[in-house]
Amino acid sequence: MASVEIHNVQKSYGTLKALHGVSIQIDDGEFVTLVGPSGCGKSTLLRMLAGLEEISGGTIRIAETVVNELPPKDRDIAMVFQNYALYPHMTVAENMGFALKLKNTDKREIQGKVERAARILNLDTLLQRYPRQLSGGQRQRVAMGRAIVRDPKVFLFDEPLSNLDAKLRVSMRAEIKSLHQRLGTTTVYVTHDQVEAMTMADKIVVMRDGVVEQVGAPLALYDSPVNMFVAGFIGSPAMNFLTGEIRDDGFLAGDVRLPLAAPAPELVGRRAVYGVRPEHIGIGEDGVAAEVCVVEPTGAETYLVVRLAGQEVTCVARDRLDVRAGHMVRLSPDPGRIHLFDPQSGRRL
Amino acid sequence: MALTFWRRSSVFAKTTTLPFLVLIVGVGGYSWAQVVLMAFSHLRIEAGEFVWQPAGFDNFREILANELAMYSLAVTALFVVATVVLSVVLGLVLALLVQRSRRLNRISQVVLLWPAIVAPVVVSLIWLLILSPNIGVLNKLLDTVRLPTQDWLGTEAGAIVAIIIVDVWHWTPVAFLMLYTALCAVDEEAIEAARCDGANEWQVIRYIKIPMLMPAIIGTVFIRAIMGVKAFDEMYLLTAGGPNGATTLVSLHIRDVFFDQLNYGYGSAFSVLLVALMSLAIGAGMLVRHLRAIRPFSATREVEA
Repeated sequence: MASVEIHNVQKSYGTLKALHGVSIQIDDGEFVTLVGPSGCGKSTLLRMLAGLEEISGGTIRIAETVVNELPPKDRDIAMVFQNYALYPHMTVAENMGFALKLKNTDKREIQGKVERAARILNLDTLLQRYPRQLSGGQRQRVAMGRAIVRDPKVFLFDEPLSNLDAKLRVSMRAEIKSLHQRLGTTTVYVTHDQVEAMTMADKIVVMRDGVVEQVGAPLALYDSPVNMFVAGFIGSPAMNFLTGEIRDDGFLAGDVRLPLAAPAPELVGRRAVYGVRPEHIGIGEDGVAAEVCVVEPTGAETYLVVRLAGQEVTCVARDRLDVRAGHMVRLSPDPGRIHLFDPQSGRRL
Repeated sequence: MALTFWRRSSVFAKTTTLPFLVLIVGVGGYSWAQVVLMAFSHLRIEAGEFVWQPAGFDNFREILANELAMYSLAVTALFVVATVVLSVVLGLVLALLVQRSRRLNRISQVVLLWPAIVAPVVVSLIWLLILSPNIGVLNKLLDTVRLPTQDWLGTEAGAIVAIIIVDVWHWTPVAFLMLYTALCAVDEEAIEAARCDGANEWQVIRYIKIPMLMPAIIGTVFIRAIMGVKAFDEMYLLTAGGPNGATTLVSLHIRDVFFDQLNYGYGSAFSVLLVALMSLAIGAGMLVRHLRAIRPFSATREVEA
């Protein structure tokens, strides 16, 4: 059993506070991603879990043991680094077997474990190569092999796919996910890419400026974000925000009336932010008129950037549309999937 | 016909390198050819002019027959091995320690480089004062802790130990500087990965830092070895080759025959021999590296899979 409990963890560099009391509960076998823009403290938190950064306050427990004062070697974690961090003077096999060698494991046993991991990761033919002789994707796999050979309590991934090209990133994403399903090891995965977070995680932790904004299952975060930051961060293309006023017959943004499912009576008359995802805006015969600014066909879908009530709004069309910049289209946001936020605090209403 | 851009830049590169080549070959090459010629000649000065007589290998035979020459080669070899090993090991240890220390990092970089900045004459003076049998600090220190004092520069073994210590003290900073810079360039993530892999401090040094520093260590060994063979000034001022010629390094021996005995042919032959020996050593070193590159092996080769 290896659950991870992060309780009120803080990190400060002198007077600068990087983490302001972060608490996260990670269950045994769970795949958790820490996601947020750069500088939000997610990598710092991961490095604190690994024991590479000192913990300024709070406690971290791995498998019920407080590890605050333990060096990395005594935490039984395996970390995969962004730049792979392979040992350049060792072959692939030596890289993967290094942790076992340090534990004085029997040579034959090391060989067996390395070969098994190499088979899982399709590295069998590369075992005698040096890191410099490998491509980026292969290096990434060696880095993962080095982690799984050890059979640790927890895997820590620090933006492992950010150096790969887009296509490889998608296939490695699936590989890591299936690896997790196969091994069932508790995993903490740091990324700034919300698509990675959404597709891989059992649970997502959204962070900003050293604070946890929301914790939840990927679809829970997508369906009911607690504030505008999470709403804008999760989902691609990002959610549209329009400021205006809540009326009993809809939402008034400038002179445009947008559909809204019957609002709670106490909200009527109040200023708010109207949040709607691009994929929840219908484009058709009726609805509010908007002028097309940009058309971005991706093949499967077409993104339209339109001007609505003086603000830019993105919407997605599944069908091919015969529209160009300057044309008028009619939009009908799905009233059942509207999010309302407080304009000052950004909190969900 | 107009030259293309690439041709022009290639011609430019060649013509601009030429003056330096001419300078090096002109200054170094000419005198070097002269030394080689002298090595195979008997030379006398008569009426202010060199009188040349072909000597074949006479000068080299004379060297082989000269006990002091052979001794100087042996004592130089001992000196080089001892100073290279001590200064590289010390430099490495210092580099590892300084890099780890947070608070003393800056100040120690400056202090540790200090000996290398001091002129050799001053170094000799400092060590004469330290090693002096009567007023020297070292003997006073030994006396205070009730250990037997020594006439350091007066005994043969004492003098050899003394010049090794002085050279190590003087030039370890160079080894430190080279290894420290290389150490700062070692990928920090690889070290962190090793820590996560379960390595303790010693294992990080043994399996990660030292192997990754190997190119720098080899470079430092080469440079320190060359410095050792050329070492002259501190020894000349400290012991002048004595007592009883015990610290006659090759450089001191060559100076003696060339400038005191005016035996130009012999001195040149010894210089040529020295260069040949060093080229041989460097060639052997490069051959070993080449062989290692073809069939690489490393400190952690045991993990075969």
